[in-house]
Amino acid sequence: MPTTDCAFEERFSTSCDLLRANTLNRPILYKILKACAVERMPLFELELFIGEQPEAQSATQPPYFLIQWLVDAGSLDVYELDDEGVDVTDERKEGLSEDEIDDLIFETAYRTNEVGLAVLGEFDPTARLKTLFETVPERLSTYAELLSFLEEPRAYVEVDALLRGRDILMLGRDEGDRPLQPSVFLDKLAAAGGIVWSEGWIITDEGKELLEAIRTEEE
Amino acid sequence: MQEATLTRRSFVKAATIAGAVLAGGSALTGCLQQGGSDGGGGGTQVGGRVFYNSICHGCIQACPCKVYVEDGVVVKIEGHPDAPTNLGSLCLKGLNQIHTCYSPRRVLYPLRRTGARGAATAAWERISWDEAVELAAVKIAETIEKYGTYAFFCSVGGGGAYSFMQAMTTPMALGSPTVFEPGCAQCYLPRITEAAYMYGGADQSIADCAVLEPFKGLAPLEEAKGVTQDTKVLVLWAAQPSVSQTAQSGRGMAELRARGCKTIVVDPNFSPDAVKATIHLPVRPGSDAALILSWYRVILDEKLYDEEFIKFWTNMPFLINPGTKLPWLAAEAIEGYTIPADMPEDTPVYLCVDENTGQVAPLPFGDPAKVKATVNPQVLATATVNGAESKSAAQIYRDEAEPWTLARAAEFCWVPEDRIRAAIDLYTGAEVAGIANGVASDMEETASQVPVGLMGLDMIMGYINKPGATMTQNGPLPAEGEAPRPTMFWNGFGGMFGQMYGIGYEVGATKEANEARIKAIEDGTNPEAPPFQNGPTLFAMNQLLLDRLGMKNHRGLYNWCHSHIPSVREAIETGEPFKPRVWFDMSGNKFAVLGSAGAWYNAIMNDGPEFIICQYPMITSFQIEVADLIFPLEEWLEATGASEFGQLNYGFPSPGVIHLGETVPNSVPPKRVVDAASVLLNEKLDSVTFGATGKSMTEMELQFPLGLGVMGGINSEEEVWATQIAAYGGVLGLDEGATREDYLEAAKNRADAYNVTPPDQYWTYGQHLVTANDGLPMGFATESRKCEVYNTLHIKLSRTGWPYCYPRELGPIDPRAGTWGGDYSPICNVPVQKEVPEIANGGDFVAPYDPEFPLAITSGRVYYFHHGTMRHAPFARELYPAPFVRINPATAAQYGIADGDWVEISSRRTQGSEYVKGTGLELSYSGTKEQNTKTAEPIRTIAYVAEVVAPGVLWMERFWNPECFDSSQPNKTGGWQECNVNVITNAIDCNFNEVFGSYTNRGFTVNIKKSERPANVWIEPREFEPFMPTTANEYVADIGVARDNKELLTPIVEFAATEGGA
Repeated sequence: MPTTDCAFEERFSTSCDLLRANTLNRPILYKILKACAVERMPLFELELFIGEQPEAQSATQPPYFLIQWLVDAGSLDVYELDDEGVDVTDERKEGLSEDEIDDLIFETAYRTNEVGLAVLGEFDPTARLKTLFETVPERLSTYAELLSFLEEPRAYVEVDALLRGRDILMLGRDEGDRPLQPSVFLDKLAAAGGIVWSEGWIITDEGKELLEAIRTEEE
Repeated sequence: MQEATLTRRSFVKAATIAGAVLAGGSALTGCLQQGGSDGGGGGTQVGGRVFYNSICHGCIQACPCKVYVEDGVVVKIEGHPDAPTNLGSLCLKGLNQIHTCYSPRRVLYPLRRTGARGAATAAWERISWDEAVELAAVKIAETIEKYGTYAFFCSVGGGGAYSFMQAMTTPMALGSPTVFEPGCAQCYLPRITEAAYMYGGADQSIADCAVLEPFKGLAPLEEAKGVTQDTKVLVLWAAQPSVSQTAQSGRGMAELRARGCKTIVVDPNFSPDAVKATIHLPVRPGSDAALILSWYRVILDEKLYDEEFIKFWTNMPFLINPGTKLPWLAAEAIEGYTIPADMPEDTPVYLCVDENTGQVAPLPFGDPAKVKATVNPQVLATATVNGAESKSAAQIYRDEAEPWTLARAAEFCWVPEDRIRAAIDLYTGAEVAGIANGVASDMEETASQVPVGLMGLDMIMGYINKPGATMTQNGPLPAEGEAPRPTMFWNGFGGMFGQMYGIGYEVGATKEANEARIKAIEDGTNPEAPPFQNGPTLFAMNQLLLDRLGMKNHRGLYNWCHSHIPSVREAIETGEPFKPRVWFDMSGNKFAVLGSAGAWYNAIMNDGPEFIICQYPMITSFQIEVADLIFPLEEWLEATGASEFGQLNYGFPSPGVIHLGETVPNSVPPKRVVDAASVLLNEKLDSVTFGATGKSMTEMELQFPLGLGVMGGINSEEEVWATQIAAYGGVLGLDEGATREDYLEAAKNRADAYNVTPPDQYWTYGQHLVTANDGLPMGFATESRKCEVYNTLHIKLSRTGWPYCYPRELGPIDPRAGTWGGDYSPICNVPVQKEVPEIANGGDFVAPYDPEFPLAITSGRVYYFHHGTMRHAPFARELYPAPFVRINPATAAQYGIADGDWVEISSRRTQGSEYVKGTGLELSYSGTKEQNTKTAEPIRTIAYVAEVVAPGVLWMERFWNPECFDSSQPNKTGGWQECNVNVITNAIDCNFNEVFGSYTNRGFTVNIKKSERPANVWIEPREFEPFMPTTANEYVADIGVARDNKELLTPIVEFAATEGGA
């Protein structure tokens, strides 16, 4: 079990592995780190924030567990606060019984630490989308068209109808291969953080930024 | 289950199995426990104990046994004395079923993961069945709504809790083509499929109970009825029944040898069957095809074959069109040829060379006595047909065998020349003999070539449908003149998908008949078709076949409707051509049994499947690492089985005699989940896309579940009890409406509670000679109605996907995939072996030698375990705590290794990516699909130094270590990396077998060096104490919980070494 005593590299690696391995929870884990990167967030506020995010709809765990995963991985620091918002440090706990400590702690708050900030860099949607666009440049126009199409929520059947039968679905495929399913484009954009499911596929803020950049470049 | 009051230790004292297993440990030579005879007349009640007749599920065979229950606890299992093959014996795998059933690693309630994925962070909470089913259904429905139906997939296999039919049909019910099983292409599919292609009959597998004839007449009860034992010579090729199926066919082999049957064993390992063999051929791993061709060379040159059978019952005399690679049809080759009036349209007339005239002549199908009056087909022949030099199929075989003189085969296969010759003489000199072909051949590049070659040998020898042969059929013979000519319907296990959905071509029936059948389904005019068998369903199911992963090149997989495993992994890794996202795994430890396990782990843990549903009775490496939800399944002693379990002509019941926790039969979760997901999805049919059509389900006129839904799926245990009572209630005097309780009361201490089919209705022969309703002999279920030693179906399959994809077609396979001029080879040939030790005169048959990996390795089973099961059984682990690698003393000395040393074994899968892309398929021949071959660290194992393998050869058993995630471990791991041979096997860039896509579990190369015991692996008997069985109906130790959240996980799921379970 990783602890915050571990070296930066180990905690970074553990935290990245956490986000990579828990696919459905990754977008919301990322958002937790991002939200707590600005300032300490009390638990109840953080849980409330998580509940409001569309990414939370697909998560497999309740908010508290997700927060705790990040703490365990070493990318989110936890602070215990008294009823005036002052840290309950180890020094203040000294000499107190367990019950007295419980009475002292009013709430907990969370703050993304230096490891978490590095993880945010690693999973930054803007960077990931750029990498995605550069990996197979021939697909860029399709990604852009799709992002534009998803400026309003769309069902998969609409996306499928948009892309079905296009040559891009055979790009890089050997003769006799079956064509790509249109879902491939959704999958890659969602994995990079460019779109999200919220009663339909819809572009994210980062996706919008990249789309604007592409449009500007085209002009 | 009745509340138990035993402590864990007193439980063990009470269980007589303890003494039996320990006795087995001190006398391992037999590895059997002999049960006492009750004379078949009912048992004696011992104290509070009662027994029930049952069928052991410790492996894939089915040994009749007696299960003793005392105060609601199973305390003893023993072989049933009336069983016709195991004859009262039971092996360690069977005896240890008590340890499996009462293992503290059992999953007894639905579990939801609460910790992050990975063994170190695993934590679970118990949830209700309704919550579990809803969670699974929601996740499936969500992903299908977001990505289409192809986002869902299933898998099965790996040992225990088999759910084959459910796994095959669950994805199809939800509109997905993706399902796989680590066995399948690597275990049995090639052999059973080639038997279907070549003659439509039983294959040569002993382990899978296809080969039964040699064990006929061994039992005193049967001998008394006059049933005789007729097998006098048996070839065990790549099979070791004494280890794999110890009590059944292992015991049968012992009895067989005791009755004077001579055996030839072809196996790199000096197995118990090899030790007792008349002739042992220790073939170099992966070189079997060359050895087989050397047999053909001798048999064809010296005319050792059965002349009448090869001429009139096989296609060996047929002249082959060199353009199409298919036999010439008389009607297409001879201008003005008129098919004889008495020849039905479903029975083609081919061409041969008439030995009497030396001229090309039509060879009609029929009674040899009549046919030979007009034509005497020449076996080895070449003639010009329509200007093309055309060879007979036998001549083509002989040409392929040309390089394989006995001398060169000896050099290539590392077997002495005189021993090969002696084996051929023994096999061909018998009045009747038979070959039993084991699983090892399925696990190599030659997965299709070896069974094609070995079945072909029995065919040209005429060892078919005769007393004593291995390729025989059981059951009543058809009445003379009444049955139609045999045909074969394809797709799915035994053609079940063809029957369910109408897709596929019925081989042997005419094209017109097939077209009419399809049209009637499409039009809805087939009065016999069930409501779901209609045009839209047929189209949808056909589309799934076309889009199944890996079918571009490996179409033999269609026979079980399975995907190509490395192609599924590649799709998960790359997301292309679609990403399998929500996974329902229905049995086993995938990390123990999938080849290149490290690659799978990496694929899952790096943006892999988003939700993984498992059903299994145990927590294994796979569940601890990656499962998000686990459904609890019954173990054998709880499970009421189907009615058809049995041994030879004896059918035994399989009643669930106890019940633990909230476990269910393996057919319940798929049914409940599919039904629940269907309800959710059917509310959104307008917005749910059926994969690969771009149309919504509404437009497709479809709704969920497709077709009949989950085949074999049930909602409750009562349904399986009904079949059990229907089958065995009669012998117990029960009425049709009897209940489970009635059965258990009536079957108590009834040793005679079993059914027997009269021998003359079961042991039958000469099926092909019975007259069909067209007046001709029945023949075989192939197009030619003959044994197709030259496998014509391979040619057609590789070009269009026929007969599976009918009425639609796939294009031809990638020509680099086919070893026969771009097609699947119709005969046994020697494809390039990719990883080989240094071979003298290897020619073009082997890839360049890699000195970094100089040793050949192969693997196999040991007595104690079956597939990935039972590593948590403490007494089995006491006897075999960690896997041994068998190594010749000369090789050991060369590497400075002593007996008992821990050693490290590495292969390309553990050793970096600088791998020369060569002749492999899919992942290796495309420059755009570079694959890092380093997927894990080297494994460690214990050296067993003895003259049991040849110098330069290693042999080991696959393994996994459940102790690695025990609560006592400071650094928990999943237990699949430490000692697991599948970490080093090649499912990445090997030469996948052309027909089945089988990857290389055996016959690849490795290096070895001294090492140390891995940190988490237990060796000492006392270390296994946490695995001791418990009668507590709850978990008793911890595998970790989310930190500081214990109160949130109610009840805590724990797995610690707590004394006293109850």
